[in-house]
Amino acid sequence: MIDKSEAVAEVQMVVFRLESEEFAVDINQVKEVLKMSRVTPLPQSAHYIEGVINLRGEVIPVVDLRKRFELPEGKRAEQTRIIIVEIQDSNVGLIVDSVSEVLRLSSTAVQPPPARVAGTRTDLIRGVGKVADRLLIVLNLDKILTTEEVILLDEVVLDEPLHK
Amino acid sequence: MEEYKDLFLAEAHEYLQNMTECLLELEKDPAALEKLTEMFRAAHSLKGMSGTMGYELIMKLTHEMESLLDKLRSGKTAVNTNLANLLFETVDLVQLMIDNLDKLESFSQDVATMEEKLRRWQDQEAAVKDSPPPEQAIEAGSDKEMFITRELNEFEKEMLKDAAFRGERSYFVNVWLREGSLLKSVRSYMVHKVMERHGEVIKTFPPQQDIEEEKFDLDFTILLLGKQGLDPDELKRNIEGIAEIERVIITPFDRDKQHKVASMASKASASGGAQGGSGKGGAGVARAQAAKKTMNVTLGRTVEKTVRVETAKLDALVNLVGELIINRTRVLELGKQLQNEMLETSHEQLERITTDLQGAVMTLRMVPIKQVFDRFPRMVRDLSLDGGKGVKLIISGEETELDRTIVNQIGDPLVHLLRNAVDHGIEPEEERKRKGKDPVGVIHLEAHHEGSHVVVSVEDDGSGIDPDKIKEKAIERKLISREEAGAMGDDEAIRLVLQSGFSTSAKVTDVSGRGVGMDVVKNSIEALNGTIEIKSKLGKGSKFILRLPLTLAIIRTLMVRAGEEIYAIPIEAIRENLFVEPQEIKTIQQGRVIILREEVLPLNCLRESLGMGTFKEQEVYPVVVVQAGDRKVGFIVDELMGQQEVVIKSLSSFIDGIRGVAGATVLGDGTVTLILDIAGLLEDRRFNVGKESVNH
Repeated sequence: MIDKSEAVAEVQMVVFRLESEEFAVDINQVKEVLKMSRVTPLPQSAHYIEGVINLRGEVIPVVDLRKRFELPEGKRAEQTRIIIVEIQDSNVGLIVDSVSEVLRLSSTAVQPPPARVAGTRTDLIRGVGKVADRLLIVLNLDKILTTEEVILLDEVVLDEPLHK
Repeated sequence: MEEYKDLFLAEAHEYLQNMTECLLELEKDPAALEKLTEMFRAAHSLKGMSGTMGYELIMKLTHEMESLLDKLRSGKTAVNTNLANLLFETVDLVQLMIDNLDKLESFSQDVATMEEKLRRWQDQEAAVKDSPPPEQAIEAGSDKEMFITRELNEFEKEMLKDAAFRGERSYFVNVWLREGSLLKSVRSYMVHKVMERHGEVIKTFPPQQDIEEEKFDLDFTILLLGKQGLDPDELKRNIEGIAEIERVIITPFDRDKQHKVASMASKASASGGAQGGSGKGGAGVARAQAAKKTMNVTLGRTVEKTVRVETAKLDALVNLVGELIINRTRVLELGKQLQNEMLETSHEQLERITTDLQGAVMTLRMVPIKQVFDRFPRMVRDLSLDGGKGVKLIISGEETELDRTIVNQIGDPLVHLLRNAVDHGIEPEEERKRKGKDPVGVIHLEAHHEGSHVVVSVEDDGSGIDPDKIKEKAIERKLISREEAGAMGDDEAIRLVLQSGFSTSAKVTDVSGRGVGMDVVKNSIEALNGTIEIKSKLGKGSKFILRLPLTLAIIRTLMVRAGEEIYAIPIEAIRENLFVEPQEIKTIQQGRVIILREEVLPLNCLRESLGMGTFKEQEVYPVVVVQAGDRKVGFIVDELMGQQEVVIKSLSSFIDGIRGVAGATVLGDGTVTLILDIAGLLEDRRFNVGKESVNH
């Protein structure tokens, strides 16, 4: 999982926002970023699966990350984006509030998740990245669709308040 | 080497299949020399391939097999069951090794044992044969001569006959290359060149192409139609002048003698070459001229008629065509809005071409059902030997084509059905005799097209299914009550074998019972959008009829709107569409129903069932009546939008476990529409679908 990021001193991360938190995913896993479009709902699927979209002929599932992290439901807005990521050779869309930037992070700046979180939810959180006074939650996307775990972000950020 | 592995696997599989077929033929007709030869060639090719790939164990085993087959070809021992069993075992072992190429070394003991067995037969064979070794070469040569003679077609025979009248003589030229000769193909080419100076090459053994590809050991035989006044000795000297030629034997071709030998050797080749008027003057010559032309064509390198393509590439192509069709629909819609006549004309063209293209691409995915049927003769043979019954399997319609994905998935259900037929359909010999039936049972496996469906049936002439026994067993298993059983007709009772819970063991075992895994059969057929029908007559036999769609990639659907969403329902599942007025709807146990032609039909609101909304009062309700198995229900939708052919896209692997959704398709405007899986929708409890069944 920690693959190239350790070999190379620097990693590039796509930073996005959910509620008031900032998240980051490895740019190597991101294929593209789309504007929010119509999503066809999928009956009887997991609650956080928003539905499916057509990505140039391929039908791919879209996950509402807010729902995945049990955050209050948000309104779709002009800034709402679908980040298309590749997970285990399949494309998956992630709905996020907004995509802010691409950051270079030195791999040492990514710390393992806080201990009490690490014990239970290492699957989804790879660590916490520090950039100046900002804290980014670095996600491990591989398990985002398969793990049954409920992620409560409060616990991740409990030790240190993330936002200024 | 790795990249050749797939090719090796594919070809090896073909050769093994070929050998199995030959063996089965040989068992029926031990004198079928051409089958032995075919098998020998397959073994030889397999040996060569394994050698190139470095699979030494396979090479060793196929080598022993080849040697034994070679001896059998010229020997006297007929292929009996024991020998066939040994050869089958060998084929199986090779198959096993090919399936486990990564653990090849673990087979060394098996190979050694098998080699030993094969060698023992060879020794026996050698002892039977009385000819001393030096003559064996010549005998092998004459064997080839016989082969060539038998292979001659009518034109060639005519030609040789006419040539004989003109005084031109023909010869068999048997050429031996020096042991260890390199560039065998070059040498044989040079021989060929020399021959052509002296006359015309009619036929060779092994066939020309095999010679060019060095698919021969050291010797090959050529039937040469000599020029007027050809001197065989001169020909011999000329050939011997070529480097690395060990020996040349030239024997005159004696049509009558050859023909006699050939027809004696093979009962199978009934149509002799003696027919056709000899010496009909002008007509005969003209035909010979025509024959020459044909021959020149046939003698040239045979052009490959097929190309191997990776299935992934085919799938990608099908996908692209799907895209093209979706976008075509989109462009057509835009064109209509513009109302430009020229644009519309070119659109019509585009439509025609894409439709043709779609058809052409779909046929690429079609494969003959033979691929599945091929393994059954062997299976039925083994099963009938195990069960001590005489069973004859008659296959017809194996050339029927259907979609590759379906072909891949109907193998197992058919294995079940055939197994059941052998084990429980066909009675033991004694019983059959008592009943006045032929002691050998017959199973018909048949396939044919019927509209946009393929029908595959398995029919036996065995004991049939006893509806009363089935009822008893169903009551025992608490599937039906005694009252229900009383009211049940025979056909309905027989269908009980398809119900899950009917058979004692849910798993597929080696010993099958009538009904073992029958629900598995039913489920796998229904998963393919197919149906299964049973016809059975007590004492006469049973027939299982599978009806399968031709293709899974494109299906006809009815588009319906439910709330904001549009869903596609496969036409196969739809029985009828209705418009229902509110006063027709009755309530039974909180469920909505209507009475449709004296049947109670449960009504469901599609939106509600999918969990996408709630039922709303309307003035009139469009209803789609669907059926899966014997359950029939009506779905209230908001709008019926008409039929459309759609390209099925599979859902991502992350979400494909959802029953009720068979897949998705992309509409002309680019939006995704779900294709409903009616069977799943009706069976999965998560979907809120009324449970009343009309049949009770």
